[in-house]
This record gives sequence, structure tokens and C-alpha cells, in this order.
Amino acid sequence: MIYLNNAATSYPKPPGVLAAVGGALSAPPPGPFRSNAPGEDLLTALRKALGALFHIADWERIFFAASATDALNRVLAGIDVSSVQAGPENHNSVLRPLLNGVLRVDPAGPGPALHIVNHCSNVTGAVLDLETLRPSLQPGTLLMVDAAQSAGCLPLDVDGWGIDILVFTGHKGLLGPTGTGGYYVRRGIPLRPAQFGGTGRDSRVIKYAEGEWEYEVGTPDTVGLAGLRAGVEYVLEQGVDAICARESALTEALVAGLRDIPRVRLYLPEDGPQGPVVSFNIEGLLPSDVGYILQNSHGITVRTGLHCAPLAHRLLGTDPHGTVRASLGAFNTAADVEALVGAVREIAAGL
Amino acid sequence: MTIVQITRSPEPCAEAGWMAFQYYLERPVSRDFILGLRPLGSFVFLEGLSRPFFKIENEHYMIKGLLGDDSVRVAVHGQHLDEQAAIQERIQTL
Repeated sequence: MIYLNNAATSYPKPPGVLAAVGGALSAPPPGPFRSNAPGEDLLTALRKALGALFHIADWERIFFAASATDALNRVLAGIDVSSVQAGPENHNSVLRPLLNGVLRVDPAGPGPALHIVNHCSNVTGAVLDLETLRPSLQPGTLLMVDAAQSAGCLPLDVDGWGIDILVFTGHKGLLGPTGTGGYYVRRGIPLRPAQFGGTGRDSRVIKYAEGEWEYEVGTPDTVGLAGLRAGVEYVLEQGVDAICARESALTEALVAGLRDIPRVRLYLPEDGPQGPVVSFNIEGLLPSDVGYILQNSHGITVRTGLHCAPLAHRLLGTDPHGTVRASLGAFNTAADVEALVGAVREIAAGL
Repeated sequence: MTIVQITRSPEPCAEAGWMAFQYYLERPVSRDFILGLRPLGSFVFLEGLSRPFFKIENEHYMIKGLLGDDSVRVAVHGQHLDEQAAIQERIQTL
């Protein structure tokens, strides 16, 4: 099987991730504040590793959640803003909370404006230039970045680029298990917790003083987070620049290979760099049919449809059927790209 | 053709708005079987592929698969799930 669906969930995982997950299940549970058993503070180590990867000096402000969607909902439910701006490139994990009343927007209130962007489109791979975004915003605007597609694949400089809130998932470019993710919220931003409960710390406090919140309640997913830590450490060892360069080369090869095939239409970023995501269609076939043939005849896994980004597809003119999306990961090879190009060439020639 | 098993499709999202199923058949899909489904709707048959692909589609459902496979994908529009009975009856006559 050739797996080109890394924008959904990366596969395979580094051996260290498998070992970490197995090790977490076979060792006494690490439980900061919840046990007197010896052991490393997994969550602190992972926060530090993520801080190093994302360039967040205040890594204690990184919190864990079950996914990017979970993290986005927690953040959007917990802040009050005077206005919100989010473009059509955003995923349904942003659009649906915004359009279903999760975020409290009071134009007359004291809250700041909120600007939400998707660092890397999960449809076209278009990469937003975050380095120049902050200076273009009104002073005081909260800049929230959805890094679900870019974390682990593209360099991120949260502190340097003036990002206030960063949301990430663990199971894509960070090479961790599903069910892991999290968010960074700059210190000083008033964020109400979405959940309350046991944290293992200062159990006498039942009602919090305003602003002295805790954000991780209940027993954490230490098995998943152990796997995520191994994934993040793999990315740090390889270097995100090196991973990015390798995936960029494969992406360019894929685009070059598909571009020459009659009947193939590519949906590329209008300008600027492209992440490891390539969307295309074959004229005369629905994307779901192309996906069926690729999977069942060629053993190539891609994703077809709207990719939970309906507005992006509306802009591209690919609504309602969407596109075929091939997304490359840390372990794909040039041979994988050649196999996909060859299969698409055969399908297009057969029409 | 006897249908030996029906399972939910592993990729229902790919058929957005549709309920997708995999129909497992007693014999591999033959050319005659494919042509026998043709009257049910618009017909696509890519015989030039290394493993020929076919699709029959109408406004209520679609059937697609590969020549030689032991199963076909059946996707029924969510409002027309009752059409499955007619599809199964048709397949069993082939």
C-alpha cells in the first residue's frame, strides 16, 4: 500500500512512537501530582519539546487537548471578542464553531478583534506568510493560527511572528497518535476554561479566583502524549527544515508529474509556497471515482471530496464533489510519487 | 449473482450525502455482470484500464467497482435507502 493521506493522519509513525506508546502502557502510569510513584514528568517534557519546535519561550502556556478541533473549540468558547475575521481557507473545525455560536462576539464589548488564519491549506497546500501578517493587523488584534497541517511539516516561529494563539494536532506532521493535540495561548489573554475538574494540584481550591484558571482537567492521555512526545522528538532530531525540504521536493515532483498529464487539472496555490498537499481532478471522472480506482486497483490511499473545507472548494469551483488530494509525509519516497503519477496517467488515458 | 455479505463502506465520507455499502459477491465481477447493470442509470465503463472500472449512477444511487473484483460499492442517497432492495434484486438476477 502506498499511503498519500498524511494530511488526514500521518502513516507510518517513527519506531520511537510505537515504542513510546507500548512503553507507556507497560510501565507504571506517570502521574504528576497524582501519584508518589517515581517517573519523569512527561507533560512538562513534551511542553518543552513543543516550545522548542514552535519557538515558544513560555512553553508552560502550551496545553493539551484531544485534537486540533478540540483545541479550537476550547479556545473559541473561552474568549470574548469584539469582532472576528476568518477566511474561506479555514477548516470546518474553525468555521463550524464560529457559525454555531461557540464564540462570543460583542461589538460593543471590551474584547479584542480576533483574526483566525490557516497556516497551510489542507486543500491546496497554500502556505500563509505568517512572518509578514502581524504588522498588517490593527494593534491589539489577537492572531490565532491553525497549524493543524503545518506543525511538524513547516517552520513555525510563534514568538517571532507575534502569534497569540496557536492550535496544533498531534497525529499529522508531529507523527504522534490520534487523539492528541493542543494549543498555546499567550500569557495575559483571558481564556475561560471549557472544562473544570481535578488537576491533581491544590485540591482545596474549588472556586477559582478570576483568571487563575487551569486548563487540563481529568487524567491526561499519557499513552497518547508519550507517543506524541516521541513524534515531536523525531521531528526535532530530523529538523523541521530538513523535513520541509524533503517534502517540498516530493511535492514539486508530484506537481511536475501530474501537470503533464492530459485531462488532469491541478489546484495549486495562486502564489507563494506550497505545503505537502496536492489537489487535482481528472476531467470526466468524479474525484470519488478516481479515489476508488487508486485504492482498489493501484493500492494508493488518497482522500477525495471536500476535505472538511467547503468554502475553500467553493472558491476553487470544485464544490460539491471536491478534489482528489494526495498529501505527502515524512516517510514517503520518490517511488511513491512516481506510482501515483503513473496510476493517474493510466486512468486519464483510459477515458 | 448471489450477494454473500453487505458491509458499510470504509469511506462513507467520500460519497458525501450518500450512504455507502460494499456488496460482496459469490463470484468475481464479470463483463456481462457489468453490462447487466447498465439499464439502471448513466453508465461509465473504462475498459482501457489495467483493471477496468465501471459506474452506474442515477439520482437515487450509484454502483461502482472493478472488473474481476469480488465486491462492488453501492452508494444510496440518504433519502432513498429503500432503493437497496431493488438494487439487490437486480444483482441477484444477473
